[in-house]
Amino acid sequence: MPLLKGGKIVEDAWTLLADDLELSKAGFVVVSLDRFIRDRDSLVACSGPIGVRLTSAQSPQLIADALDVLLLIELEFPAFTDGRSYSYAQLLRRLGFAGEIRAVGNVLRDQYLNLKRCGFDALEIKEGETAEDWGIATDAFSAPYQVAYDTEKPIMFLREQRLAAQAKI
Amino acid sequence: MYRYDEFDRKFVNDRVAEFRGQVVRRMSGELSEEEFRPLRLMNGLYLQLHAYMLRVAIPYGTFSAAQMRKLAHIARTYDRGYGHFTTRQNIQFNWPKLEDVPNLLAELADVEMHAIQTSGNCIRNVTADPYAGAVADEIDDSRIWAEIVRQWSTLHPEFTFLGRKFKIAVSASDYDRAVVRFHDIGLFIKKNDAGETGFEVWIGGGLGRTPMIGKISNEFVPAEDLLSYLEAVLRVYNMNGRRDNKYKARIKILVHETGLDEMRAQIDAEWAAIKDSALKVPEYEIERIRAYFAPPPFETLGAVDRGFETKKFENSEFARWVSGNVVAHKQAGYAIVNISLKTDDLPPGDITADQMVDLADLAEIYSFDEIRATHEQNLVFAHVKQSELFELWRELGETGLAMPNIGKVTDMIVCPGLDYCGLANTRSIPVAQRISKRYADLDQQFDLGELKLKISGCINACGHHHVGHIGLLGVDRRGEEFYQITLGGSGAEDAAIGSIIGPAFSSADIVDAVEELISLYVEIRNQGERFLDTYRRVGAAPFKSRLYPEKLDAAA
Amino acid sequence: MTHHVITANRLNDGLVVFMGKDGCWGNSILDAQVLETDEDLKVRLALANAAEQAQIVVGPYEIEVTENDKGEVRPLRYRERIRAYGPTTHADFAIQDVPGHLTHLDDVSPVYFNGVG
Repeated sequence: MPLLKGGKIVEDAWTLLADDLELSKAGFVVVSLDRFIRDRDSLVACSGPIGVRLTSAQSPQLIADALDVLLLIELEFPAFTDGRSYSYAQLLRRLGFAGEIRAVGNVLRDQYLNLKRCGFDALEIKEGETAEDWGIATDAFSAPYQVAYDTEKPIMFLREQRLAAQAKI
Repeated sequence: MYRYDEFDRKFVNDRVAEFRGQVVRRMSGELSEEEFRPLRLMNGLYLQLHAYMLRVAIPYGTFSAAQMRKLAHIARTYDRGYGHFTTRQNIQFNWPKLEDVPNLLAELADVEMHAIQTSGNCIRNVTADPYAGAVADEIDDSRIWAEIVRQWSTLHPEFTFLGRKFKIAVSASDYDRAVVRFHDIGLFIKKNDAGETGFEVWIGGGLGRTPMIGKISNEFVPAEDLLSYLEAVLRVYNMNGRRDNKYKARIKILVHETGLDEMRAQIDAEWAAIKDSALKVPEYEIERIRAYFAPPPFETLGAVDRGFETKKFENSEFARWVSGNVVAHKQAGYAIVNISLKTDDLPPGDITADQMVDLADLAEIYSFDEIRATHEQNLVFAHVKQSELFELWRELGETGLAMPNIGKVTDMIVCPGLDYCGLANTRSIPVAQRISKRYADLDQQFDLGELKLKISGCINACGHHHVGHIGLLGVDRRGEEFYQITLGGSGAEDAAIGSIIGPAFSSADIVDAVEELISLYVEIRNQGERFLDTYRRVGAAPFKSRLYPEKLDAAA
Repeated sequence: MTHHVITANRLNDGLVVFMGKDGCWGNSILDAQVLETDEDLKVRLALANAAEQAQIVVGPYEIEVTENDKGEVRPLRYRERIRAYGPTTHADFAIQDVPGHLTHLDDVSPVYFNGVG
């Protein structure tokens, strides 16, 4: 599936490694949580950048102590209506994870803005979807109401800014 | 009441544009029905038995005369000339066309209204005390906080695909007029010893298949921490709530299965991590919103209006309407007026476009432009001068809205049932109408006093039957329409879930059965007891044996 | 052998529709094509699904019907009768004038969900 990152379609440098396959590539390998827990030391020691793919039933708390060795965390959407991964992304950002958070599975264009605001920076999109769609979706709203991971100032703060500006006049 | 600033206006307009695009993509096939369904639900658009149904949000039930006029216009232009007020203070239209909905929403946006999150697995309309700002027993205006929660919950990116719907209610009184204890989150405004405002937070209340009274998750959350606390609760729910079974996906199940102590621990842990963040509610924002809910420009009046008292003495029908529908106001010389939408002309909770326009006119004259919707599917004019009650009553009478039955047996909460809803097992409106006819005599209704009868057409309990003093649940028995009776429920501060009294009654027999119960109450009640009080005093046994005498014989 | 007709909701207005002989969708069940064999039913359902793919209707399915002594089609299930004839509570929204369908408060004859009583 094409990978959308930073608003552009990009090459995917990462490979998903099945649990039962030997590690042959050095780096840019994504493994399941079970595999990571099982082979953590060897994964960290042997390969280059490593990533973990969590299912929507697996909380990031389970890898909270590994965040500085991971460069990619993939969060699953088995159905686009399963919204657990939005919380997982926010949690990861709060725990200080600075790597790539990628949405994999079933997401609709209409969810791009939610994903971005919750701390995702990349997603697998359906064939036929374009980077333009991403742009349209994320520009759909001028200002959100609430605080979220992304740096946008919610409406409350914009109001304060306006108040302060008026006070200065 | 709250008025949009330029940010709010831009927001609803952005939302309309977004939905317009989604409808285009649906009509072209770019979005399948399966993909479109959650998106349209988040704009309150259902596909029901006969047609689409659009649920328009009325935040915490407060709206203006101008907004009421627009709703009437929408009823006439896009629908079949009427609307239906719901158990969460919203209004529904039963016949809009999909292709018209974007324009309909654009018209709503013109008057600062929308249909955002009135359905879907997200945070729904935040409901509040319909007497807010008018009643003496509140310690603050619950709508201020409902508005703060509303903004925080609107298109919250993290909580848009929850396991199930999420309902929040707010009250500032010891009297629970918003069924707060049966909400996913219930907020009671409190003041601590230092006079600071905070919230007693209840979680995990709900009706439906597994009715549960909520439990206190925090005795006092300081006002500025409200949003971070709510965020913590929602996050814990979103991550851990069940996703395997639609009927086990509400937070009440999570609380029940996790245990309250463990639940509190998880919430507190998350809360501690996010409390001191940008989620703190700034004082200036609280004050900004509070200003919108400042009292209207009341006149300084005496506590009692002589003209009013005289009129009651002279006109017994007026006096009865006052006794039934009018409630004391905290401001001297004013009154709170309840307007019943339970007349025999229309299904319960329905109102015609003409009536909407009339009420808009009346609200402008008599109640500072403001109207409230209640969870009991009635309306309120919150600030009416006592001296003007008689005129108002006369005018309400001319528009067919002076039924004095508030809180009486014919003031029922009734779901739309199989006549309209795809989920229903049985019809509910016809039973309500038959019961209403049986108890048409107003003298009898007043003699019976407060009697909350609630009817649901299926176990989803949208008619709140679990919290009826008498509750009716429609069931399919041997391929026929039957109704199961529950007794002793209450959605007020004496929260209770009704108990099933025995086997269900056929459609032919149900009204007689209800009459038996009520007759028994009249026979055995003590002075001043409501039906509910008598039931609590004597228990179910006398009511059971009255309804099922053959069981008694069998035992003998 | 039970007879069927195909029903759905029209996408653009949400109204209940029935598939007629020409494969088109109409508001009245009286104009619906009655399918008497499994083979006919299969063929028409496939056509209905194609109509869904073409954004004409949503959620097509078959319902069991019977015919009254006037030869008029009548759904067996009560829920489907409400869909076909309109809510029982509002004469204004009745799709057809069907005796006994609208609620008369004094008439307490039982309603049979799965057959014509």
